[in-house]
Amino acid sequence: MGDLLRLTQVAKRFSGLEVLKDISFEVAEGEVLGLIGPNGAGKTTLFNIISGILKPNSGRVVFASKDITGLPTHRVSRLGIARTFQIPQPFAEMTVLENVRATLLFSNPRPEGKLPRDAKEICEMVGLGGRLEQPAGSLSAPEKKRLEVARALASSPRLLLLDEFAAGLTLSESSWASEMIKSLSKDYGVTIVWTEHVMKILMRSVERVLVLQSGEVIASGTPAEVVKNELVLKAYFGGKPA
Amino acid sequence: MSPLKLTGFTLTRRRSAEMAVILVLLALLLVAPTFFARISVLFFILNWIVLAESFNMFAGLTGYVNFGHVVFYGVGGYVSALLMVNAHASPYVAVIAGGLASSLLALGISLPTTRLRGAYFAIATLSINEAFFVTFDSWDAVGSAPGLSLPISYYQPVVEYYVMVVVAIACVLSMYAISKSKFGIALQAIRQQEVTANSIGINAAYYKSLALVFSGFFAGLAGALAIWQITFIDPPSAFNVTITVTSISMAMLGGLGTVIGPVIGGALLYELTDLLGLSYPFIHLIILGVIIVGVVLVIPDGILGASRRVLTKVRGRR
Repeated sequence: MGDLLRLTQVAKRFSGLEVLKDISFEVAEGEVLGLIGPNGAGKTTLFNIISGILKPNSGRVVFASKDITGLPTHRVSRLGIARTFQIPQPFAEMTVLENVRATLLFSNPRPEGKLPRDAKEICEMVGLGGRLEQPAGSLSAPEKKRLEVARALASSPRLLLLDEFAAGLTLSESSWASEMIKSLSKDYGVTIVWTEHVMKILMRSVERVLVLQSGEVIASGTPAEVVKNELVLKAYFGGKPA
Repeated sequence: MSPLKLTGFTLTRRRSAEMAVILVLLALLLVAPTFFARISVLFFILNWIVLAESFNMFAGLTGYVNFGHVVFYGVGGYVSALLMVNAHASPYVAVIAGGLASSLLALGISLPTTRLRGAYFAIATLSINEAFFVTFDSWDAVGSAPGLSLPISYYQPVVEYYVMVVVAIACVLSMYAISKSKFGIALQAIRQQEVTANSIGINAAYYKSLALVFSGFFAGLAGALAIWQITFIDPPSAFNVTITVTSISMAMLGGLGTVIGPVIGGALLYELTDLLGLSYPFIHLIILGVIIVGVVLVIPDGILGASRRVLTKVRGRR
C-alpha cells in the first residue's frame, strides 16, 4: 500500500517563534500512526496545517497524490481528511442527530467508503444512540468527544486526525476509545493519525509512533522501540533515568 | 437521506393558526388604502420591516453584526435617485437598480470583511459607513451635501405603497426560504461554530458573502423605495448610523435569526417610537433606550423566542 499522506520539510513560524522545523513523514494507507510529544511540541499546529486551518511557511503536504498545501479547510475536508478537536467544538444549539446530519449534508461521499451514511447509525456507532435529540451543548464532556468522532465519520474520511482524543477521559472511556479507533482502521479502512500526550492508551493502540519535540521529529518506530529511545526519555523526563 | 430537521422548524398544528393570522394581515395590507387615509404610516412600517429583516438575513443567521447595514439602504436610495433625476428612469427600474447596486456593493464589501471575526467585523463595517458618508457628502456628481430632490411627478403614494407591500412580502419569504434551505443550515452551522463548519466542508466565506448579498439587495430596495416616497436624499439621511441601530433593535426585539421576529419587532418599535415621540417629545429616546436594554437583559432571544419558551413550559405542565 502506498502513502496516503506525505509531509515534506514543513515549517511554521508564529512571528519569530519556530513552532515546527522541517517536519517530514509519511502515513501509509490503512495505518494507525501515533504522534506524541510534550506540551508545546507542535502537535496541534501540525494538525492545523494538514487540515488547512494554517498555512505552513515552507514545505509541502501531499494527500492521496494531490498537493494540498495551503488549501482551504472546507476543500481539505471534502477531499477526505476529517479531524476532531482537542476541545470539542460541536454546533451547540443543534441536537446530536442534527450535528451529524448537517455534516452528511455537506460532505463528499466516497463510493468505495465503508462508513455508514445514515446519521442515526453513525450516532449508534459511537455510543450516542440514546442522546439523539439532545442539544449538543448539553452533552457531558466524554459525550462531546464521542460526537466529535461521529461528526468526523459523517464526513466520510479517508484520513482521520484525532487531536488529544483520550485526554480527560476516564479509564473505561479511554479503553472504549482505543477499541473504537482499532475498529475504524480494521473494519472501515480509515487511516488514522492520533496525537496524545498521555502515552499509555495510545501506545496500546497504534502500530507506529512519531515523537515530536520543539517542532522536530526526534524519534520514530514501534511503541516498544520508542519508549527505550534516549532522546525521547530526555524530552519527557529531562535526562537519563537513574 | 432523510430531510434535515432543525430545532424550531418542525411543522405543528400551531403552524396552521399562524398561517391564518398571516393571511388576514396580508388581506388587510392589500385593502388598507381604501379605508386608511395615512398609508404613509403603513409604508414606513413596511420599510422598517424590510430593513430589520434584511439585517436579520445576514446577522441573525451568521451571528455577525453588520454595523454598516445602512450603507446598502443609502446606496440603494442614491442609485435610484440618480437614475430618476438624471436619466428620468421609470421608478420601477430605479428601485430594482437600487437593490441590484446594493447587492453588488455587498459582494464587494464581503470579500475583505468576511475574513474578520466578531468585533473586528463590526468595526470594519462601521468604518465603511463613515467612508460612504464622507464620500457622498463631498461628491458633486451625486449632489454632495445639499443632496438630491426628485421631480414632483414621481410622487404616487398609492403605487409606492403597493410596491412596498410586494417588496416586504418578497423579503420575508426569502428569509423563510433561506432558513429552510441547505444554505440556511450552512449559515446556522457558521453561527454556532465557524471552525467546525469549515472542517465539515462548508465554505464559510462563500456562504457569508451570499448572505450579505441577499441582505444588501433588500436593504437597497428599502432605500430606493424610501427615496421614492420622501422624494429627497442627502448624506446624513442616507448614511445615518441610527438607521442601522434601529434595524438591529427591531430584529432583536422580535427575535434574531427567526423569520417573523423582525416583522413583529419592526412594526412594534416603529409604532412605539411614533407614540412615545408624540407623548414625550423630549425624553422618548431615553424611554426607548431603556426598553431596548430591558429586552437584551430579560429576553435576549426576542419576543418570538421568549413566547416559544413560555409555550413549551405551559405545554410541559399539562
